[in-house]
Amino acid sequence: MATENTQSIALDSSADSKVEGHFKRNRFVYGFGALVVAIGAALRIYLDTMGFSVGTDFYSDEFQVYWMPLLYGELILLGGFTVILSTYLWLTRETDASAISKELELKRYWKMLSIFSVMAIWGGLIGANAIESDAAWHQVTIRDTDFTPTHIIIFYFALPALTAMLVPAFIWVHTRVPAYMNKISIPFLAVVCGILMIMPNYGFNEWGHTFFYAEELFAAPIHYGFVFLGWSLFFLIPLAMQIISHMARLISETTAEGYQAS
Amino acid sequence: MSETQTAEITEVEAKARLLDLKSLDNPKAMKLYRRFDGIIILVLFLFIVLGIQIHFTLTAGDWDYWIDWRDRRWWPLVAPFSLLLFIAPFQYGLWARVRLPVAGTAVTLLLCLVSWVSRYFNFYEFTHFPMSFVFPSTYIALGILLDCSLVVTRSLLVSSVIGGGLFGALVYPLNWAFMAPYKVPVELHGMLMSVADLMGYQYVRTTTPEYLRIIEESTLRTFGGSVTPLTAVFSGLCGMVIYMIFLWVGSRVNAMEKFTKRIV
Amino acid sequence: MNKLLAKKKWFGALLASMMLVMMAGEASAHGERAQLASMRMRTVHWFDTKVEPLNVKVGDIVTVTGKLVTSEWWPNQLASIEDTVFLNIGVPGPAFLRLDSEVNGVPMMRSTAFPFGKVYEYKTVIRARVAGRYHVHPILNVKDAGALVDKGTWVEVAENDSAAPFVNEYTTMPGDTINLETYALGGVYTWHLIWIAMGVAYIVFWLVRKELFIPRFIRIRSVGNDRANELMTKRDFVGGSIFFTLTLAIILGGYLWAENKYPITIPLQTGKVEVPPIDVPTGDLEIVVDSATYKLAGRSLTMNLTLTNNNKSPIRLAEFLTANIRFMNPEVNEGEIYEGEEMVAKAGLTASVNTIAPGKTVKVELVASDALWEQYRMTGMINDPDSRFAGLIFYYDDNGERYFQEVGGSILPEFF
Repeated sequence: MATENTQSIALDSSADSKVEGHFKRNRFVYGFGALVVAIGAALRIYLDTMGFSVGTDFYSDEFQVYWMPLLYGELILLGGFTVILSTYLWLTRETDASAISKELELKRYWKMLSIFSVMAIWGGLIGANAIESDAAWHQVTIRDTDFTPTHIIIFYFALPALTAMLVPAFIWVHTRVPAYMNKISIPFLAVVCGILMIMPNYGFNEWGHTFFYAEELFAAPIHYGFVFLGWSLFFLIPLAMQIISHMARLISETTAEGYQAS
Repeated sequence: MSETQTAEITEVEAKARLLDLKSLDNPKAMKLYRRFDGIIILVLFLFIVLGIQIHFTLTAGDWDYWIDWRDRRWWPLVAPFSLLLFIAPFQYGLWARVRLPVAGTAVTLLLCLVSWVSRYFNFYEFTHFPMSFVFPSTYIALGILLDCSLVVTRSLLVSSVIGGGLFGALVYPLNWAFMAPYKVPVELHGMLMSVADLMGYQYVRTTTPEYLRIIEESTLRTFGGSVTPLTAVFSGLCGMVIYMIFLWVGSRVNAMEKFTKRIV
Repeated sequence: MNKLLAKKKWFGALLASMMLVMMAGEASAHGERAQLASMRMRTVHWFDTKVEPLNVKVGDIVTVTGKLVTSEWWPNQLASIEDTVFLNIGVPGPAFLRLDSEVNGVPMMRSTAFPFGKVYEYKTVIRARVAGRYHVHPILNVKDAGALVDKGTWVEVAENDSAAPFVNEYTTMPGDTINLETYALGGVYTWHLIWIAMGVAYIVFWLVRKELFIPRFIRIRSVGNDRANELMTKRDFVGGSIFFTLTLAIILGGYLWAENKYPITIPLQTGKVEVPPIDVPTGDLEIVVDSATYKLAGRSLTMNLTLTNNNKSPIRLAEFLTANIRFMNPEVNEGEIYEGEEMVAKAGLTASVNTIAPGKTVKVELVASDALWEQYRMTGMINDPDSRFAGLIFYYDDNGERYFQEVGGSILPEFF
């Protein structure tokens, strides 16, 4: 998703850069926000229509037809997206912070906030309808394999998609925004790692469910790994403060009377 | 914590701070600040929605999904414990850096709103439970009390005693206003049940059998059924302690607003 | 842009495949094939499962009856059914309402315990609530072990003729008739709206002001943390106090109002109930399992048994039941098959000796063979850490009396 972003930055970085109005007229947020909402809605409709009708038995033919291709498609899409975009962003990285003007830097901050907004919309969607769908599902159906429809949507798409956005965003910020270049922001790293580690933890979760934990209690200690990783969102506050402290200074400098654009 | 706490600041930094303060009177800068504020609220609140759903559903979710789980002993203990734990680090950060005492209300309000959406889609539309069986509890009042105690005392520590204590203690009376009708007795085939138990029996949950409920069971020492007030007091204590502990965690997390050169 | 296009295509494909199956409106609650083969064979043996009627309308009653034997070969590592078990019904969510359930005549609203090697007759009465086609399975939830699933029977639930919403009425002990579908929701909505309004008011009080995150951050950074409290104004203090007091007052008011309106309430009810077990009706047939094998590439199980008939009447070997699959002996042709019953191999059992005369000891080779064996993943035993089996042998005497007995033991695969 951030491809568009980098390209547009690359294209108009030399053009007349307006400090104002980067969010109000931000097609990036509206466009990609609408896209993730559409994807979320489509998956929701798919789950509602195909969940109980063809999704309750992994060993049935219908499941193999309607759910497994979705799983493979998701994995390929997200894997490809993350790897290709991250590699591209890394290979086109900028290392000379001094070459970036204050206007461009501020512009990149607004872009960074746009990326965060799109991720937040996706995160809100996961919170508002994906997470409890797994609870509702497991408490009324019998667990057959790790590939139940709600898992195919949450664990193999929704949460990895958040990672797929976070990892390139992390790389983009650390290679394009001067305050972050050639070093690593600890709170940002914590957020990315926390969400990323949900996927490996999922392995523990399923291993435990095939071994020592047979009940479908949601508030069970076997799930606390996810809880702990969810705590990585605590780092959003220091991350926000980190962004504010740099960005606010930039705004105060560039809007000050007598400021000369470089 | 951050550069603000270092005693000595450079001359350049001092100048920059003066400029910062001046910018607050500059309408052009203020316009951008407000836009920035708006984005922060949007991003922060949406991520809190994700965080609180992951956290709450996996630590106290079952009690909140089903009315036949909301008992006198476990639910009033588990729910505030789980919520305070999540609120504290946000409260710490927002209080220490921008003096905005809103984390308690924001988290409980967002949880309530998102729970209604989620129950409707997942439990009502998707799995066909009636809303009367799966409606969420409310904790908003507790969030307001927690935040207001911070506003009034201006101390995180004192507010954790007053606010944290009230947060733990008042779960049951707060929800009783609309939960009481579900505890009216009914008889089914010669056995006594509450309306909530009856609903739990009638609305089939294939993998949520009756024994899975973690609810109060009578003991030899449940004298006269004074479980509710005793749970409230104990829950108040737990609220204070867990809130303090996670405020500390918040202070550690917020201290990590740093950069490093390498990952390892 | 290409990425966006690719996404659109993918999205289109998704919608297209979705449309394809919109017509297939049936829902099932499977799980009968997922568990390891030996686990399905050695936990409980369900039989005589009868679901009737199979075509109903929303609001109609469906009765599920049947029997089960708890296996003496219960896997040791599995949490025991002798501790805690709950009789349940496997349908996707509350498509049905459970009106009544009992085991050996005892109401089963709560959990219970089933000792091994006994017979339990159960009955569950359900009422159709949501239209659809459902695979209805009786289920036992065993605490810490998981769900034991019987085979399913398809039940077709058609829409009701009336357009009125589904009603589930019940009379409480204080004498009010209530509809559980919407019971007390008015109060729930009202109180939630009150608190949401309070929460929104508080957030608005704080977040709708000229100086928010960034200006406050700048001020605190400039004046230093020690003077940060200067940002808290008198208005904030007064507002906070009002919200605090008002919130406490509303909590107290709501509590007293509800106490007054619903004076009689009870805590949630729980605790186990006891069920008297029934002994297995063995017909004086002594069964010794000499050996058992299954064909890995095929679809059969072979047992070599030594049978001694101590009954006064000749005994006919009619059926072998394992993992809910009924292998029936066509030579004997006894045993009822119910309408809609699945997992029945009508000619699935071959016995080298069909009838055993009184007082005789014979060696019998029983071969249970059918496509169902493969369909239900029984050859998956090769992936099982514990290759042992168990099952029920059904036999009849001259009076047509039915007996059954559990057999079990080690089982070996035949690779070729």
